[in-house]
Amino acid sequence: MSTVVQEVLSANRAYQSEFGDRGKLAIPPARRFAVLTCMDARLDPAKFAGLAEGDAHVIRNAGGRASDDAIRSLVISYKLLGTREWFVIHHSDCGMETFTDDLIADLLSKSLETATINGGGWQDVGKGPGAPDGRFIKWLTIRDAKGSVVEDVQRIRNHPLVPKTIPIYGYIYDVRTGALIEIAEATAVGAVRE
Amino acid sequence: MRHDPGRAPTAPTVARNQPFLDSGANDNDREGEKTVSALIEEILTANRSYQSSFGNKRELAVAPKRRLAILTCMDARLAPLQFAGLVEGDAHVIRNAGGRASEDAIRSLVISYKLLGTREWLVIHHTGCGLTTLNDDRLAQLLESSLETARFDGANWLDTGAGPGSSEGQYINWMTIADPKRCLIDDVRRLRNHPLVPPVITIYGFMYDVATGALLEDAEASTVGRARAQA
Repeated sequence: MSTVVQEVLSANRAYQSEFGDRGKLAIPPARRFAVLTCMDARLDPAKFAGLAEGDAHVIRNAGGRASDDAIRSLVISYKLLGTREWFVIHHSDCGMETFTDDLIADLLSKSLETATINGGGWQDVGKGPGAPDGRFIKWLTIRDAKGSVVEDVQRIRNHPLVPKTIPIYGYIYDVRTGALIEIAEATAVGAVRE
Repeated sequence: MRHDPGRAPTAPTVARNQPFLDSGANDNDREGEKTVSALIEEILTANRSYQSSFGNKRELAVAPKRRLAILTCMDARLAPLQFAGLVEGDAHVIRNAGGRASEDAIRSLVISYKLLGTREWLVIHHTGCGLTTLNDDRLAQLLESSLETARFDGANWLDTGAGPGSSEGQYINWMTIADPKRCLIDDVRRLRNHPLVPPVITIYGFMYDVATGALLEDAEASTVGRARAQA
């Protein structure tokens, strides 16, 4: 077991020792909402939105995109566990803005090692072989941060399994300040439909 | 509802203690009468407090400092950064219903190592997962009867909503979980065998115990996920 995993387990023992009555939390989120956001390491939704254990579902993927899997999760979130409001939160300086589907497919075709980024963009420095499978994946990259929030909210809003009564709010989290900034256009698109 | 802006408001004790079998989600009087804007105001108040103590987090790099990614469930009871002792900048966190190795989780994990340099992945499922309470067919049926929240009577899910529902649920793989231990091993194996996942990445399998907060390694899953070559 690596040092990092040992550190995680040691921190987990400390968490257990202060676990208190969290063992009695119910499965349905107490505050009846769900957050869809990016996997980015700089984001801690529990802290930036003030969530305690038991409060809300948190769905995270690369970009915080409204992928089929995010929609699967959101449908389970309301249909079985009763959430009634959803937040889609993308963020500034997202890695998904730095490449395209073709570019990552090229990088993966060269090697399966970590690429480097410099002024000229992403470069593959690894030893091959890579794999061609990246060509067959939709990577859900982002060209325009604000536009992607609006599109994602719209996709969720229009999904046949999403009830019209759930409001969907669009936000961008600013990684320089920690601020949540509403994208009015996204929230308008995500408004409850009568 | 007044609360210290730096902390999340505490839900009523009755809701907290409501066992899942009583399906607290269906009680409209819980936090239900709170207006929409009240929830947003609570979140934005907590966020302002976070901003005021943001400090040098503005300087964090995009690449996770501890070169770690976690794949876990969206379940509200799980606070992965807190239960693993991680802070902002340390690790990628990918969450979906079940913490499953879906195509989207794989997309995210490949981006995580290929562009942002993670080298160890933790797949963390948990006890008491909602996905163990039904199968895909049942969920599709519930969605077909209505798009309202269903009710769990302790053994079965029942739909009491006003229709119409939608038949679209039949076409989705919901990734429900029949056998939690098997499922964890299968998910680790799927990641291990993916053609875009390099053999040098170590993949660990863990169960998080929602009753105690403990992370318990599943030795069989971690064996399946161990690195196949030296970096």
